[in-house]
Amino acid sequence: MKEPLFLDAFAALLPSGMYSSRGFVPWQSGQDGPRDVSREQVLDKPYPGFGKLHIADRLSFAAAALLFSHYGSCAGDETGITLGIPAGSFSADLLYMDSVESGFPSPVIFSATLPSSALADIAIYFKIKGPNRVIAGASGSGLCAFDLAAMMLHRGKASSMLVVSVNAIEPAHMRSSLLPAYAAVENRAYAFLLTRKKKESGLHFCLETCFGPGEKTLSERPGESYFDKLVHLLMENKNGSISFATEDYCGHISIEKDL
Amino acid sequence: MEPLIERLKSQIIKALKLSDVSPGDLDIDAPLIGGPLGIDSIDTLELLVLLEKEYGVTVPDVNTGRKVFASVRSLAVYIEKNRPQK
Repeated sequence: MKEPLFLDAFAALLPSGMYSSRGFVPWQSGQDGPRDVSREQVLDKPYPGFGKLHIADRLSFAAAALLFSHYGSCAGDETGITLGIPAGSFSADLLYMDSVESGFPSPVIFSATLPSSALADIAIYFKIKGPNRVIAGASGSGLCAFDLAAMMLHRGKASSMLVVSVNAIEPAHMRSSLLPAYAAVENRAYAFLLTRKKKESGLHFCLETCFGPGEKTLSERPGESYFDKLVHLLMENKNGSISFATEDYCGHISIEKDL
Repeated sequence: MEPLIERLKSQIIKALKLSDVSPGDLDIDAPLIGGPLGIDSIDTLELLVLLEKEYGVTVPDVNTGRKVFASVRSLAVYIEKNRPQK
């Protein structure tokens, strides 16, 4: 049996509001869920680059920023990142096509058509220099990111791994026939910090993962909703186990409060 | 020149979607690239597109680009000198 890992911190931007180990904060009146998250809500310092992040990059960055806002720094070679992004850079791709058709292709939007740009924004800002991987374009992308992070910790490639999972589509693109069904869900982003060693303070959970080949049918509703269940378990400070089966991944995550 | 500088400041903020920055915050003589605004090489390409789209002005080479993008003021001077006459 694999050595258990620890889940030291988490943050989530969900349609109802922002969740973290500090508690729940609903969206302000007039805010259209995660896509309207402002810099001030997740980051104390001014950051001119926040506004230019395209939707997937912005939500990923905001989830990571929210996590680090109460956890503190995790900079250096010992921390890595994995990013799961089921829809890839779908919205940036469509925006770039629009800019091409306008006769003035946008270099900034083009750079956002790389699904890894979200990971780069986080790594650069938070000075995270450990191993990184991006999994884009499949229904189990977030789970695969979780799995890879756990694998890197078990193999000693890093002492902490930030796992970010994001589903982010511009509302105007939600009805596009090109959008995969598993990505046609409300915008949301999650960040989890996994560690190999138990820390002295903060929230500690034992985490065991078991991943295997996926099933051909979706037993969960599309998207990364299994992470909603994980966040709710963490918010309620309860032990529990979450089973999931997507087209690409299946298995379970069990959480035990580490007393 | 002043109206052009003010217009440019707003256009730069809008084109690059700079958060936490208002036109009044932009020092027109401060380095535009690599400064506190976090403007990088990709953003510079976006500004090149803006120059062409809004003013019909192109930058022929890297050396000229370094001088043009030194500050908001140098950008305005270059546009003023090179924009097509109506």
